[in-house]
Amino acid sequence: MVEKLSRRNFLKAAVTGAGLTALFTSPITLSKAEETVNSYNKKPKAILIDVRKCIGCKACQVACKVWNKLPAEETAITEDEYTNPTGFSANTWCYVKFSEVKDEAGNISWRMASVRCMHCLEPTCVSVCPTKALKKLPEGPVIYDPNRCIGCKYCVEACPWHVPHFDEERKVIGKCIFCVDRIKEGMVPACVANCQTGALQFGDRDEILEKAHNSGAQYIYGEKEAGGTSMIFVSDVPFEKLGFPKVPHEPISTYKTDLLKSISGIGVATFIISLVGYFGVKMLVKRKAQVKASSKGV
Amino acid sequence: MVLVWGWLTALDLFLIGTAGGAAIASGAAHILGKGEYDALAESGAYLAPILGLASILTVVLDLGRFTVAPANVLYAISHFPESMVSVGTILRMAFIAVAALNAILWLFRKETLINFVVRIICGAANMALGFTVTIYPGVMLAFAMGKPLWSSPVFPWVISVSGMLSGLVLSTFLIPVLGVFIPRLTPTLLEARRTVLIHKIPEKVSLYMSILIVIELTLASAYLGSISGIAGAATAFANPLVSMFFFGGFIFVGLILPLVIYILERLRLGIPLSVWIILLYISFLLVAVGAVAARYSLLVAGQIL
Amino acid sequence: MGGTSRREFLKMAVASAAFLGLCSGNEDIILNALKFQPSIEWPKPTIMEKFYTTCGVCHSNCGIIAHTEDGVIKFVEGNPKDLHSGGKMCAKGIAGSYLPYAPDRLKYPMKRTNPEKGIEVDPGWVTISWDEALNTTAEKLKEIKETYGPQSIIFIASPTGYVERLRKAIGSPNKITHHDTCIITHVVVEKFTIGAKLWAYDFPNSKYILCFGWDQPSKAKVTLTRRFIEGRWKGAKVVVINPNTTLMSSQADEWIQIVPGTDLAFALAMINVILNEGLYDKDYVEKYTNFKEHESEIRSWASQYTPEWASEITGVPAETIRRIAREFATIKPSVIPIHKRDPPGPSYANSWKLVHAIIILNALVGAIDNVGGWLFTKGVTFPSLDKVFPPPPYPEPPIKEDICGRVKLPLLDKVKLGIFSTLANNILNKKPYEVKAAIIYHYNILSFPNPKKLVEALKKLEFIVTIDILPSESVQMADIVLPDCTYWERKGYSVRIYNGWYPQVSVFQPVINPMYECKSAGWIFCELGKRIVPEYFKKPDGTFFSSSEYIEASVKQALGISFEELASKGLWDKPGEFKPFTKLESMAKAGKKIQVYGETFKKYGYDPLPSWQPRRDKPTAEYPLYLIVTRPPVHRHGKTTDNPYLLEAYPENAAIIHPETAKALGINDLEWVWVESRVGRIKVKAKLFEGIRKDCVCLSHGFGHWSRGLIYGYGHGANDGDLVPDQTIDEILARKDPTGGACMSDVCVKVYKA
Repeated sequence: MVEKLSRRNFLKAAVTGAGLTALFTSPITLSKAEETVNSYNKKPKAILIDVRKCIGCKACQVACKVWNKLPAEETAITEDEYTNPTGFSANTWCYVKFSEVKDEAGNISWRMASVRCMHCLEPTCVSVCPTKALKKLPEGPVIYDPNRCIGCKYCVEACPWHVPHFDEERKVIGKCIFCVDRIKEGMVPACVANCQTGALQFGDRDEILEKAHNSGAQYIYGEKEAGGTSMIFVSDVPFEKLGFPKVPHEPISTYKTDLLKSISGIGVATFIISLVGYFGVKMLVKRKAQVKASSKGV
Repeated sequence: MVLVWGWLTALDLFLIGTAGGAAIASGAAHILGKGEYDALAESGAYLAPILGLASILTVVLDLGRFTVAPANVLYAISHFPESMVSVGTILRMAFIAVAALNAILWLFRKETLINFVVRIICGAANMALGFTVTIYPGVMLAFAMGKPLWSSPVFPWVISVSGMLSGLVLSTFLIPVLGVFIPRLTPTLLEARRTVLIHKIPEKVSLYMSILIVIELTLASAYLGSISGIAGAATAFANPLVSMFFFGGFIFVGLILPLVIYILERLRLGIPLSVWIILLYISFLLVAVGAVAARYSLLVAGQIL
Repeated sequence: MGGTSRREFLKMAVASAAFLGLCSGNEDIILNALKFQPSIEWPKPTIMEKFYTTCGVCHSNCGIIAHTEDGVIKFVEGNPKDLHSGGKMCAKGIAGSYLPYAPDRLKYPMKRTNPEKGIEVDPGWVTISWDEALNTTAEKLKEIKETYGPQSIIFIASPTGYVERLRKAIGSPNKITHHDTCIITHVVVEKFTIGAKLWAYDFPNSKYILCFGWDQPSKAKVTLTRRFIEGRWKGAKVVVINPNTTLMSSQADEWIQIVPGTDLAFALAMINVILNEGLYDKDYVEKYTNFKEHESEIRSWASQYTPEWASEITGVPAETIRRIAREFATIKPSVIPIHKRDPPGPSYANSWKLVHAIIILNALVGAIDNVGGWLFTKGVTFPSLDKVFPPPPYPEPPIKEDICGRVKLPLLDKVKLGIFSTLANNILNKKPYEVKAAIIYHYNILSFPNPKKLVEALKKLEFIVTIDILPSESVQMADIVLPDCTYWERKGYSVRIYNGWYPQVSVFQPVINPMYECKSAGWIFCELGKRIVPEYFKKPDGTFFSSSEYIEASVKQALGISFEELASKGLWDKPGEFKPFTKLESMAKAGKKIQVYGETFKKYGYDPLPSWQPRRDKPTAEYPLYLIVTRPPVHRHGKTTDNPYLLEAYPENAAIIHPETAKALGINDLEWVWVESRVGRIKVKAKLFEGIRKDCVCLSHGFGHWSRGLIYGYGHGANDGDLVPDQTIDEILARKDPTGGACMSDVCVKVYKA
């Protein structure tokens, strides 16, 4: 006899269980932040990253680690000598990507790009997270509650820039939070604060886009990718040469709807073709047998 | 190269796909089988919830934070229908519930009309939910914008038909197993044991298996064609691990070989029937192995791009 | 039925309770799960205190703002009002916030129990009290002074006021400093040609910046890079002459790969072209330099250095040299920046001459003390320790000759700097006398050329006391170790020598209290002084002075404000606009002109004009490749290569080598290789890079720590210094080098698979 799970039973069980939880330690809970009156406006923010001006000093990378109290990782020299760490992790939220580029004459030079979470306008990670652990704030940052996460790692797979990473040892997800604790206090993000060449600039997204278009740079990245992001890169070298992935310009919602339509289309087509094929072959076999029988009969 | 979704995820995809496929096979065998294929319907009915629950176990083991905060899985339903993991969770729950109900109806079967009607309805619901759980994992993977190799509209169908295939063949494979070890549980299975020696069920199943294999081969080619334009796709599939499991395990061992065995079985070639039956059962295992290889290789290929 | 359902219910309840009880979460989670909109808040940063202070990682001494949270340094930002940092910082400065909390930091005074000393030998440290440490040190030094004479005590130390007082009071001539590896060619040559050392550049107004290996943007030197980028993006053409392609290449319009150590030939040919074609600024040159008085000699001297001649030596086409010379002279304002540890010095035997040639070039186009050019330092003179607490007359040192031979280099001695590339040889040879004790402060053994020889030399000493922050290699060779404070934990000020706009002083203040039992170096030297030469460490009233008193007094005297006031403001400045030629005018009035023709050099027996001289070591069949040495942007020599944040960013050095050269040697990317010179060899990974000359190998400096006390730094990379030959004073004198430069890149190597 199957006992149907009633809501009353569930709540009763919940209350009993809740009493028992008091005996166990709580994970670190986030304290509620009071709504403060800040001098900064709540318009969407962005960072302009001018690859042409970056000298690869890694102040942004180290500042991010120091401000967010992230542990340093053990690294070894890599293929291009300078990029280290070589990718995002739960403990590396921002790093500088070095690229050797050649001009037409074959002269080699370096280009550096400070990469981090793109804080998309319509984030893929927020869309795929089943527990709503990831959240997009109107000011731009895509933040997360590491305690709400279940570790399904769908965000890790879904992000076109492979930004979120899950630390198997500490069992937490980690990625750039756009220094939401700094920008809410009217400060600039830690990476921008110490950029000595002005390659990193922080401001309202519309202003940053204007700066990007007026910068004289030939290539722009991040304006339309994934439907638009908060990290606007400009460069004098094509972004494929800098190792930036080609990301479709549709936001995740359009991406999903288009895919769903195509998937349904393929499904219907497969079904119809299969049915036609099956009955067609069946008919052919029957007719063949009939012909054989009739020819025999004659 | 560290795989975020590795063999445990592949196993989970295999288990839930096969569970769905078993449900479809069970329902189809019962509704369209005119009573001759009840053994298949019954074994499929048992297989579906068991594999479904097993898939829950693998999913939970794959969750990085389950040991730290197990209650968080309760949050996992909160993003329906935007997150495919939420959708999947609800579908799985519903599927396992209906499949379990279906299994219980088969376990305590009575030859009354009401029981029969309820079983038909339940079987149909089981089929419908079974279908959704074979296809939703592929859709979930396709929605990962960061993995272009999964974003083909053909991709979820490759996964789905593979699930139907492995569900069908494993349900059939289970018949003699169940019949040998627990004959007293299901009187009809005793008869089924006798029918094992007759070629009806494995042969019929092999026919539909072959039809599905042909469809799957077409879908697989269409999938490869749809991703051929993506930069790095060829390199990803040329990776030794991927190509071994995809072309060797999935295509050859899991699809072509069983198809060839069936075609040769139809031709008899002077080999006794009992040998062919054994070979057919072996081909069922090959299909299942191929299904696991398919999922693992596709997961790896998508992540190494 | 009812019985079953109640039992079922209980089973369910217990199971759920157990499940929920296993949840290490709040009851919130369960209730929250039923909500569909979570409330994710982000924590507000806890209240942070902000302090003005100065970054002490390098000598730029950028003014910074330190944020502390609950008394712990949380973050560092530049002070926006600071001329040096302009509100920005480099990675080294930001990561400097880790230094006080380094777990391997020296915490207590310690004494050695293992009599054996050497590379990777464990000293067997035992913690002792400050009293015991200071008393033992004082007694030992006094004993050695009595037995062997004051000259047997050497000071391998930064010559601060306290160090100098102790040294002079003891009567030792042995001031041993690192300047011959760092700035010596620049300081000496500029002092005796221009009359002062210049550090700053008005890049924002430059239109043409020609760099002889000047690579400061690749090293992220904030004060220079900020302005360089500004100038470049305002349209300055940047030309770099460097055998290796560095990170600065993203900012260069032209990159010329020259044979290492031949920049002098290029510069001389430029002088030749500019003089021949009359492209120099005649008014400026006549007014502010002594060119006119020696014109014929200069012209006939320059006539031999044709671009064709230079092309043979440098490997650069003659037309390019000619074009660059013309551009430099006509695209104005133009400037050739120099800094330190670059080709002008002290990297090669001809480096000091390259400095002179560059001064001539800058003078010919009127770049010195001019808009868009090279600026005189604008500092504040602080009263020295001797002024604030005048000492009794120092004893006449029984032996004036120092162990390094510094006194044989009169011009070097005049600028009060020192050398140390000759130290190891002289200690081992006991020439001119035996050395028995050493006080090591602020210097590490690994900074020396051929440090392995120095280790052998130091083994001969009876007593070594080292004052340091981390357990460096100098610490590992000591008998007594005294733990120094970091720059976060002490008082002080910095005049900031890289400053050409207006005087700006930056404060050092304790942002955190000194941790463990660390004491400031000033305190340590005063305590030692009290015990060894007490009369020299007293105030006029007979009581001992403290370093704190000196700081407060000198700030008051120089700036007219209290130290507290300086600390509350962070910076003291006298803002003013840069007016060109101010200093040159006053110099000209006093009859002092820029010595294009080195009259002072001539007086002391050195070349008055930078005649061509090749580098010391040239490629041979056995050592066919040129070694070049650089530094990555995130490290400051060996001082930062124990910092996990900076090691993460650049964990180890490697031998950068061209892929074709590597292929011929059978070497693949990231394979282990030996790099060997005539004095030693090191094992590193090879890094293939197309941007380097095929006849060169490049190594970054600062790695190869062998002190096992450095928990992060130990074992990363290898020390390029092991390849660099140390020197004898005779060879320096033989090549008629007034600066005593250590030629830190002047060596050739071979590379082979390990």
